[in-house]
Amino acid sequence: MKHMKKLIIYYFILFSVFTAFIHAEPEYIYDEYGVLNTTEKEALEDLSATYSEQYDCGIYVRVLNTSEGYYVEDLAETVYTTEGLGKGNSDDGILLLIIMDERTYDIAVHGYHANEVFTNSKVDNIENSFLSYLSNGDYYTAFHTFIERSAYQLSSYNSNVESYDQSPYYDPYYEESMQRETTIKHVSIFVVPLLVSLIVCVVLCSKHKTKGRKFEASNYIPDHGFHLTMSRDIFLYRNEHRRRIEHDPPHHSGGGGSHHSSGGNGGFSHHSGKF
Amino acid sequence: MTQTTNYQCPSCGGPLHFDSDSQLLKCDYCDSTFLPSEIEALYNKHDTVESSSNSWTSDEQANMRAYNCSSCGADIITDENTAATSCPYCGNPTIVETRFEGSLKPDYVIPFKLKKENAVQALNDFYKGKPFIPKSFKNQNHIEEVKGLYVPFWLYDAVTEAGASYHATRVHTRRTRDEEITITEHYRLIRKGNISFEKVPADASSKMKDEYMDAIEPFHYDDLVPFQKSYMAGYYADKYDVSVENDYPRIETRMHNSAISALSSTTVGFSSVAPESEKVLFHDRKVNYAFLPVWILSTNWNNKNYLFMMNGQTGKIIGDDIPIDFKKVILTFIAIFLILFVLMFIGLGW
Repeated sequence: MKHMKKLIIYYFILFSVFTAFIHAEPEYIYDEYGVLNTTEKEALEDLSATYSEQYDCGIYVRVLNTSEGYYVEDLAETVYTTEGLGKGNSDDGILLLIIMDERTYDIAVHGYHANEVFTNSKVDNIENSFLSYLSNGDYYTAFHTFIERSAYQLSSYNSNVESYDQSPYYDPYYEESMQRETTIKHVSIFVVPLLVSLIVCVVLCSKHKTKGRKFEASNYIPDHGFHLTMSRDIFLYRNEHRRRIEHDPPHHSGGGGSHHSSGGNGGFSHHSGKF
Repeated sequence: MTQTTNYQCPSCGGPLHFDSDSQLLKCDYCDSTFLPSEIEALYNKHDTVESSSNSWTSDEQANMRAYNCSSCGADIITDENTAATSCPYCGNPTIVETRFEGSLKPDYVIPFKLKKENAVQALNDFYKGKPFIPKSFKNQNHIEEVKGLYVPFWLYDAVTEAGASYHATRVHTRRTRDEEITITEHYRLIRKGNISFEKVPADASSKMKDEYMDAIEPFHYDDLVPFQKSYMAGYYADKYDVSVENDYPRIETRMHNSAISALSSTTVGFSSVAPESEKVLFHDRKVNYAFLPVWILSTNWNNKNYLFMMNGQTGKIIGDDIPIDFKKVILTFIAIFLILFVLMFIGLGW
């Protein structure tokens, strides 16, 4: 209880310093660590605000430096309640909390409506869609994907459409990656047998040729016939080359385990793990 | 006036052949066996039959020689380099003494270890493992001649003093979250060494193509013995007609390459190594003259002659390029392709 109090105070001060004087309304995107630039943050903020208003369910992202030793789930709940996040009568919303020093994350769902929409399997799907981007350090795409997928789920629920399981949400990165995998599969199923057959035939044909000149005489160096009289390795110089890593599109394998904690219909439910 | 010798059995007078199994001279008729040195000593006391050639044109005289068989008296005509042959009339092995005299006397010989039957068997085995041989080649490629020949070789010894420098790099790569950092360290490597070579063989007969003789290497010199004419009995032999000087450049190239390769083998632990300069000096050059055993098998298929050669010591066999049945190649290609295609189709879960 003492810890919880400390946590609330800590987060309250932290939040006050960065946001209190900027926005009267809670921010949808908050980036303490600085993984997003201003343009990216604004774009995500607008996107999140639009969907949140449209579906009356908040979609939030918080990036914090540290958890100060608290459980990520506890911290997510503290953030949610302290900031007064959520929409509607039961403060419906979904929050993605990232702790940078531990590389942990938590998806907290709050409110009756939100818990109905974001069931275990739906949150699993949302989680799988952005986790690879998160692991690769592509935070903008990760958050963008999180917001889009959450919005799609809300939209599907409203129009009574069964979403992910039957018709997956369109993700250009995922689709591109799937398309590439299929192309590789198509090509390899022809190319690999073609190359192997060719190599085997060439090797067998080469056995028909047995004569040939020799250009070395290693067989005729007697035992102890080679004496190394000088062996020097002189260091000349060194050079360094730096290359920025182009992060691969996600493979939907995720970066860490996740679990779903308890949550009544009106309370919190969590999916957390490492990335 | 040319001198020839038929080694005959001291017991019954029958012709003696060198027997590769027992490494002794064996009588064709009474099966008596004798040490080569024993027979040589005996024959040094005997008179030899002399004969002279006549009625050749000047060109023929330049290239051909005629002898009398000391066994049956028939005329034997050979080319100027033949040192050992057999009489076409009585089949007796005949050795032309003058081909082994003075500076022509070989220093060493490796006696035949394998017989004619081994050579024929080796040729049959040679076809195995070559699935693209036309069936008719296997069935109709008849052996026309099998000949055991002592081929003259120069055996070169040398000590090389080799030096080389290389530009080498060692690459380390580490990754951060956003960057891949590659550090390349550059080195100059200097290597010097002495590499000795013993008895690098080069065939000294212009009749034998280098590509055949190189390919049947290596010969093992454990069996190398001082030359005795009696080892020639029952086989063919030619004296050398390529001089030491003419053969030497290609042997020097071989030794040079191997010396550099030996130095290069010490430049380990680098990501890349590129030679910058290489130098090889040769010292203590020495050469010996030796006869090394080779079985020659001549075959004919579709009016084309195919020549195969087997190392008479180790049994290594090589030969002319064997024809390829392209129908078999295509069928094999399709079969492998289909099998792999189906396996991958199932494996990839299609």
